[in-house]
Amino acid sequence: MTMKRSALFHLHKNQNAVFTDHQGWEVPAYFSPPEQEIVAVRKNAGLADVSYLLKFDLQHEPQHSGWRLGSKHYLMMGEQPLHPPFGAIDVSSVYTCLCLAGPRGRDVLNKLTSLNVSDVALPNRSCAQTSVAHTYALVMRDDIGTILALRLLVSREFAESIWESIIHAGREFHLCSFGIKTLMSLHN
Amino acid sequence: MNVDGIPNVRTCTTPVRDGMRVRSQNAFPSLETDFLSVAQHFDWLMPVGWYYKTFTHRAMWHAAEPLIRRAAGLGKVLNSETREYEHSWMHVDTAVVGGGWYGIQTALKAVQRGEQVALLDDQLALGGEGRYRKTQENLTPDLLLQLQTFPNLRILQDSYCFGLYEGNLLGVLQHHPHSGAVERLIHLRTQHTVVATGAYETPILFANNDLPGVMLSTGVLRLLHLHGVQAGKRAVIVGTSGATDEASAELRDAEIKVVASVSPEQVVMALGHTYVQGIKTTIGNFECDLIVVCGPRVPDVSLVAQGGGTLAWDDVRGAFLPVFLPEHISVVGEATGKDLIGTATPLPSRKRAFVCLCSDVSSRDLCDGIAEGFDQTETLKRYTTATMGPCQGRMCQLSAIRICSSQTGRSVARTGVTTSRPPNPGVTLGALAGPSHHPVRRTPMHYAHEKLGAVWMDMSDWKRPRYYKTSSTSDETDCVLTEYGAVRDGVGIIDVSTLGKLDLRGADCGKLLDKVYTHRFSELRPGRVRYALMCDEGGIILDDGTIARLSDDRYFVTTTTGNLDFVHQWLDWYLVGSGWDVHMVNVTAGYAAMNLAGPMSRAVLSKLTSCDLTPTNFPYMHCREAEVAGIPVVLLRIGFVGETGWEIHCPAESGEALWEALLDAGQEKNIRPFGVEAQRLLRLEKRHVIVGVDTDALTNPYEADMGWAVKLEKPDFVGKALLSRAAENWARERLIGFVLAVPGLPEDGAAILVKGKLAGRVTSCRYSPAQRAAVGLGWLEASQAEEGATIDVRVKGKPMRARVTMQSFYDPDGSRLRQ
Repeated sequence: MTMKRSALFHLHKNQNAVFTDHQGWEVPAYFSPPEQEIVAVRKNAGLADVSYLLKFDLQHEPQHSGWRLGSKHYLMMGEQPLHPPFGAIDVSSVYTCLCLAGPRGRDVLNKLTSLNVSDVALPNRSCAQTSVAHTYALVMRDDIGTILALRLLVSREFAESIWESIIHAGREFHLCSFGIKTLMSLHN
Repeated sequence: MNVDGIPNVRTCTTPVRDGMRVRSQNAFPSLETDFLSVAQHFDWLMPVGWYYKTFTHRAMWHAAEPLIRRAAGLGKVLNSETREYEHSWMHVDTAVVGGGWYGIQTALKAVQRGEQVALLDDQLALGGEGRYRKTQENLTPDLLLQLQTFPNLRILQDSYCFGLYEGNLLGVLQHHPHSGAVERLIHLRTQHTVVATGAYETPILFANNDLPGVMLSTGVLRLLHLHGVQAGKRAVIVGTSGATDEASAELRDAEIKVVASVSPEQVVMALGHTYVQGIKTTIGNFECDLIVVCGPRVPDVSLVAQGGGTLAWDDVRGAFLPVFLPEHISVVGEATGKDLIGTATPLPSRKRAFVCLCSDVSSRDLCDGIAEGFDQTETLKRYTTATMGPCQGRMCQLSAIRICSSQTGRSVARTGVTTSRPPNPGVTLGALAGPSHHPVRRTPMHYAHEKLGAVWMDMSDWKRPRYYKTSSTSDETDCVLTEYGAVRDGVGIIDVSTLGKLDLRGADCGKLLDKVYTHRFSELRPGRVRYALMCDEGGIILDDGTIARLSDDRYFVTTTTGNLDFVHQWLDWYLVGSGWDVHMVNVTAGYAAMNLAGPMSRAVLSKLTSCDLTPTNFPYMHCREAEVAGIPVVLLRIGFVGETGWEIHCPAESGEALWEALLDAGQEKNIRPFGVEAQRLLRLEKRHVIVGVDTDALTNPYEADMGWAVKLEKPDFVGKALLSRAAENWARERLIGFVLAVPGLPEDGAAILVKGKLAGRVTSCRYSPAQRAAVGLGWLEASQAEEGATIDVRVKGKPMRARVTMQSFYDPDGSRLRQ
């Protein structure tokens, strides 16, 4: 069985990420010791690749895990197992999904998009379609407990470009890359 | 001045930093010994509008322009820019422009109301003129500390607002936002803008007023109190009575000797060559090294004008003041002009006084311009360039208007003010451009190609292998021919992930496709693929691709790489409001796609799949969903390159694994990856058209020899009316194939001649190993487009004989495709 690789696999490999098997995907477990990543995310901001999440495009509202994109356009997203309703089209492979988490996440995004991502304009569990670093993106706010977390869905072929743009924009806020092990710890 | 390579920097307001490189501009070799200054003795030779009057022929201007720009231009743009610029967006309820006393008080009130507030200040510290003028309100340290405590207040210092745009968008430029960037352009979206920009002091006009040492009183005080610098030792103060009191007292406190205090009417000229050495007045000459000018104050209300407000001349206050404000703008503090006292300083006689110090425009230039008929402020501005320099008229606009008024006899109110346009002040191009985040699109097999030695080409934003360089000695032609040979005689594989892909589900997909494409798709049986041609209402070819019916209610549509977004929108356009049951999703990025082609392709593919690939069970133009190397795929048996082959689509995350599995499986058959260049040659031999390369904005399918793809018997489809006419009225031009009879290779776009006259053009041409000659496609007058006809194709300027053919150059009956 071959492992599935996100569009950022090689970029992360070059950054010496330590990989792990997550639901058949070869994803970064961590870039630096997870304890350090947790502190950095809680204090500043971190960026993780969560492309393994399942995504389905729907014309009717799903019962759970749904994001409304238009009047008859919904996206269902979540971890396995996820059971989409009849008529859903699997778009898991279409989108690279990034998780920008931490209190400075908003400041980072403000350098890349004209979208108002303030707490009032984009409250938790709300989403918007916009341009991020000159690329079409879905911005979904899904906080991890009390930590601000913004998920960015971009068409897979742009993944490396947008990852590098976000990291570049985040330098002044000490944005770090983090892996799935850190993400799991944050969720717990 | 030029600072760190940036021209036209207003050094009078730019803080000094470590390592700053400051150079004078438009001076040679230096400002102290400036040979170019000789020009001022010949200024009578160069009146206003000198360029227009002297360089009346284009050639003269071309010769003179570089020299003039060097002497008088607005600096040199850096060609090698290494600085980092940033963009940022901010959204607030209230933006207060100006960090002086009034700005801060207004911001505080808004903050206390719970609004999100941005306070913009172009200085390094808050407080405005209060920081160096004792007569102004000053901030207490407590207030400054209090400001830091509000989470809903963002204070942007060293940031100037250069424009107010539609929708209450403020353009803000922040200097040195952090160590990694020199400038940040902030798009500040606000509900309400408060203009608290205050007022600025403007010069008084007298001869030699451009000498170093002639300073505005606020400049002298700023140097004194903010930087501890005495601007001179012996000063003469120029100003109306009352206006000079503050400066006199301050200078005396600072132990600068005030030699005299004179009114503007008494001043004749400043004395000195390279700096002030004295002043000549009607009451005598005074020796001094500093002339302190207490000029009229002008409210800074350009943002009001940009935001749709109206300004009107106020005689009492001697300034243009806001009289109408849009709902979203308010003005506070000195910018309102309420406390101003109008002081009409005298205008200079014919003697030369500089009005616009940035652009070197004198009072005489303005008078000459008006005499020549440029007597409106807008035309006078353009003719003389007054107010068009780096300070954008802050120092000179009022004087220019008053001169225009006095020369024309019109009142200042009637003379009016010129339109205020952003950016004001100017912005560096680097800041407007922002960071270089040009998106690049990479296919899932990008790094596999890199390992194989891909030489990249850019296809819009996509990176695609042009060819694979296998050894350092082989050139492009060798590599392409090797790749070609592998496909024709063995097996080759190409990454075609960039193809647009649409997934259509629902009971009415066939109806939509029948409506938009020229062929019939509702009757396409599941498991079949068909060539798809899309035309507009005028019957012009828009795009082509393939459509596979994977099941009763599922179609898989491919489009050309560049047209995907357009095709998606086009289909959406015809879908909206139709009521049809169609769910369409762009899945381009979701599928890695590769074309395995060549006579050995079946042998390679069958090693990895249990799917029956025999010609009987998987014939040409059929499709299947299957597993290859354990990866779920869609197999399309199509042949763009003219050999037995499969287009294989798999989930993008498994693309690299599948690519490598196929290369491994093909190793014993000497499989070769091939690039775009080999693909173009292979398809050209098969006479397969590339939309947009071989067709243009006037091509219909009949002219392109693709009438077979149009089903006029369908009840209705986009373009049917005009295609029906095109089918009857034979084409004006036709797409033909040609084989060059002599060695040579015409370039794309080369002319086709018949009996020495221009009769068409080449669209694609390559050397064909199958024909052992150059072959190509081109457009030719329909009357000449006959099988076997002789034409000439221009190669490097010379006509070369070629034979017209309407057949494929390779495997004309398509038997290899069907094997």
